[in-house]
Amino acid sequence: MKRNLAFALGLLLVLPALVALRVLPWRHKYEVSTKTASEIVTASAGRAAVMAGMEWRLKSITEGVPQQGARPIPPRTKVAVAVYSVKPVTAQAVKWFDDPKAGLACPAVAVDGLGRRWKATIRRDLVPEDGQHAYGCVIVKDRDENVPLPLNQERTIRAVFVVPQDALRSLGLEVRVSTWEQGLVRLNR
Amino acid sequence: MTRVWRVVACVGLLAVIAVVQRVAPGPAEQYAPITTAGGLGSQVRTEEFVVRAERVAFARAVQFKDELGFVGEPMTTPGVWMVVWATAAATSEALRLQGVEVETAEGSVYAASDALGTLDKVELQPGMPVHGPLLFEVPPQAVAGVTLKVFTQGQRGLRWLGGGTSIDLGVKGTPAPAPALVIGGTREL
Repeated sequence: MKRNLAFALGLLLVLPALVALRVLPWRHKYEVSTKTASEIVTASAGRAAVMAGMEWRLKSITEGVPQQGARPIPPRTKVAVAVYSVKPVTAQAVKWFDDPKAGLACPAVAVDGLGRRWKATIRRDLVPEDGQHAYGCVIVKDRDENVPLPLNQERTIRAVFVVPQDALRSLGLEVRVSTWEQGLVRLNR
Repeated sequence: MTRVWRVVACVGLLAVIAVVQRVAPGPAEQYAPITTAGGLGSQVRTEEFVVRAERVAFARAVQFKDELGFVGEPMTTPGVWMVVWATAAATSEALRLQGVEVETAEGSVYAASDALGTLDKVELQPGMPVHGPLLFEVPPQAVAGVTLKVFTQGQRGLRWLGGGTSIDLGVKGTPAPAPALVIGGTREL
């Protein structure tokens, strides 16, 4: 009886361990290939969110005025200019910014109160460049070199969106942080 | 007597298993797109996009007119061109209409033309409807009762549980195609 009980208990431990050994590597591959966020951090208005040793903060979302001569935007839409920041707060996070082979990527999408999402526009003619903000979290200096971001130093990033005019008021940001894991930072207004 | 009932029960259960196996949907049906039906002029809403087929025309040749009014070379076909004017928008995330096809009453399926300038070539954004043509090469004698199928995935095997439409285009009999048709491209509404 005791022997049977030990066998049953052993099975109870060994079977889940075997399943986990097989499933977990695949789960990671699945998350990477489908860009499924394994961790989601939300920052309420005016607060910062910390993800992968980086502090993310929404600075502002304002309505942009299209430049004269810019190709017209679709009817009943507005230009939204979002400025957000990232600051490495751990030594590991600094490495993500400095090493071009690390492959850090953090594209932002605009999300409104209804859950609708818009990617940032690649058009450079919509709003004038101000030269103060980066276009992405990583700045490539050379093929093998990034512009470093020291510990506790902030980098501000600007993203321009074209959104329906009814979305502008409730607009927030979602930043996908791709390190060796997939994370999602929600920055609310 | 008990043995007889056991045999009857076993045979009955086997019969039930056989019936269930016969009528149970296969993987293709279990994972088929979730299709919403509609008619010409009606707004058909799926989880991922909204589409309204507005008008259908047939022609022996079609020519595209660009934004500046220049008319391209005529495109001919051994059958007829079926042009479906439609308006579509994404529901919550940017997407392209893919796997756009028409299905005849006999079950033959014709994929949309790969000509540029049609509605299935533009990226649709949430809340920003786009109007434009969808183009098909079809045999004129087979278009009665044709339905428009729209998906977000071009590969049939990858349309698992995605949104889809089946829109009755209201085509009756054999159409009399126009010799040539000049069609504009897509425009944001």
